[in-house]
Amino acid sequence: MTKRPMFFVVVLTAFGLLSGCERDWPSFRYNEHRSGHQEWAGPLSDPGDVSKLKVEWTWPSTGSEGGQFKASPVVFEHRVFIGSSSGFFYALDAKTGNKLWQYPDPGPALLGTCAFGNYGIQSSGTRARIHDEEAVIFGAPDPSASVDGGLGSGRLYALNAHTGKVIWISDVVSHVTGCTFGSTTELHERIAYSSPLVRDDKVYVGVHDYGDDPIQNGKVIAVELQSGHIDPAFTYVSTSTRGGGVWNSPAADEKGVYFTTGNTRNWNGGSQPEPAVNNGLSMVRVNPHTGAVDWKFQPVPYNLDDDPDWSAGAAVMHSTCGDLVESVQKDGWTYAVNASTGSCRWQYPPTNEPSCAFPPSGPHVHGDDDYKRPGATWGDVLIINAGGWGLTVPGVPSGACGLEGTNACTAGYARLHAFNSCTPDPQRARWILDVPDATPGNGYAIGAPTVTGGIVYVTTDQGHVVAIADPALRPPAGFQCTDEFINPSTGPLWPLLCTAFGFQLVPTPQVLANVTLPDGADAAGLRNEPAITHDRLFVGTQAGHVYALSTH
Amino acid sequence: MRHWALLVVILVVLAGIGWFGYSYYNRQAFLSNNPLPPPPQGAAITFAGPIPVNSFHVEGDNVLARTVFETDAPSNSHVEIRDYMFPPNAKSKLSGLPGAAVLDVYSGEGTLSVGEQDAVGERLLPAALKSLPAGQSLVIDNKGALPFVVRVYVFEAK
Repeated sequence: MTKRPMFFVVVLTAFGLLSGCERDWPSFRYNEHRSGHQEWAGPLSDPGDVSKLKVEWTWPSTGSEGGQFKASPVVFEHRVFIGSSSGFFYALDAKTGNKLWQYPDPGPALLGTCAFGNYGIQSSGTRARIHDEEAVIFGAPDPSASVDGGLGSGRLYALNAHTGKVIWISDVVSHVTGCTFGSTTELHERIAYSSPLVRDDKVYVGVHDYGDDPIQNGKVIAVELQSGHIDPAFTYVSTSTRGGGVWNSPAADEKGVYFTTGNTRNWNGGSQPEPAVNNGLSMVRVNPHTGAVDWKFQPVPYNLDDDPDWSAGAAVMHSTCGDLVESVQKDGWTYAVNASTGSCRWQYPPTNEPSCAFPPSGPHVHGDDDYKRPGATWGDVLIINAGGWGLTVPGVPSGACGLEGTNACTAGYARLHAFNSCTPDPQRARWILDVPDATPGNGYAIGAPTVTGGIVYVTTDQGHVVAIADPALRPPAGFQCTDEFINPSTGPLWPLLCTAFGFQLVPTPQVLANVTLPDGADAAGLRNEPAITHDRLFVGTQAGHVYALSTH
Repeated sequence: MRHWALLVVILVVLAGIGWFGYSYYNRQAFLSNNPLPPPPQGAAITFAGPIPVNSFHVEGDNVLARTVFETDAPSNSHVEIRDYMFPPNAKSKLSGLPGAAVLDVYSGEGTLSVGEQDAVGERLLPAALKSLPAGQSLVIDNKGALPFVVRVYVFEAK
């Protein structure tokens, strides 16, 4: 070999080694903070590149998987991992979309035999290291007849990420002991909506019910990372009776484990007294070793509980004004809570009530609405599907926001708000966008947003992936009032009226890309998020396809 | 000697590539901790947002109002549902309603004075209901920092 070719071989080898440094998306919402934030720069954080976004591959390349991808992909070790409602979990090659393995192979599918336990895999997997093996952990029903008759009691499954071989299958973490709708003697527990959280030597998962039929007592279960056995030292239940389901994926930081909880009152006709222990409708931090409640933040009192489950999970933000935990309740109100104390830092829209708590004498405006997606944190900015100021205006034609179908409450379903977490209330809103090609008024119009470098990605119910530029990156398309009912039809002085009435004029950000997914199917389930890696973005759809999108 | 020179060149190039690669691949994506600059003033503002039906219009000096429902009713009467929004830190006046009405407080809080003689007024909080006579002027004093929003059901005898 002559010297010159050898020189190029060396250079090319160096390039090859460097290009192997991919930036992964190893869990639902990216990390244990559930930030939804890809921290590393790449083509997908470059506003100049994002307009070139297009579908690179589809899996399966023909037909469909057969189920629905209600879970989102996680990506590491050059593999895409995703589970389906059909009860199978897959590993795909991240570059080509070729299937590498599936579990179980060939079957039986991870489905229970009754409605409470036949959900398959509806939450994302999580990366872990077990006995020096690279592993992926997910939750699903166990079809084995030896477990509660095969009705669909849930377990966590830890598989070798390279081979798909089982490392462990956990103890049973959720029980289905009967199939009688409304039964208060059977257990109807699920782990469908909760992606496992790996923190130190434990794996945490939330337990909830199925359509409140009937409501179950919410739980968080911890299993040992190395063995899959339930840790008996950790105990958390939401109430002393029923309620407080954990419909989301726990988050964590060095202080503890965070999650949110569902309603407590919505069973037995709502006539029963408040349980003595009631951690329902709360954001909660628990001790990671014992499960003891460090604090809870419960803004809606029991007597106003008209089923505004807190089902969007918590996102931990290390902001310039301290550590915050942020989320939106199902009624559309958004909160930032001090991670150390559980005290309310702010709520949106503000009510100026002490501790952001609604007075029990207040109106019944906390109902079964559909603000259920976790937010993405980016520096001090929270990007989230939230109700906004429309919540403070009576609905049309009926008055109470808690009743579905009133437009003031549902108008935000296809809308993203970005909030400045560390400013005073009058500068809280950063921007607002009604996401294009998402159906206004549909409670399942957009998925959970993710962000990298100020580029926000979100999927829609009409099968689109939309990329949005924070106005710090690209000039906005225009401006709007944070109260949508003040606009040019109000009069030419609408900007002045907007601020005179205590609202904000905020930018409407530019849409950089709007990609139609080939199957055109709903990609906006509660746990559908675009997984952002260094140079690709991965999404799943309800029609059983996984897509990789890139700018090259 | 030439071999040594070539080796040095290769090492320098590799170091350069390594440094470039390290700095590129370990580059954190842009992060913003600062609020955006304020919007432009006056005519420079381009509207880009939704325009829902039932938007508010200006009524009087500083009140926003909208009619969300109205219909003729039995016995030659008329029913109308109106929403009003009163600005924070301001006193607002509404001319008399065309019929007797029920006021339902939705958000915020304010003090309501009915007619010219009611100097003290009544403090109204969310979920409060208040009956109103026809034809009398209404003064709302909103001393809070938030808008005061009410729904009024007007029953008019024609």
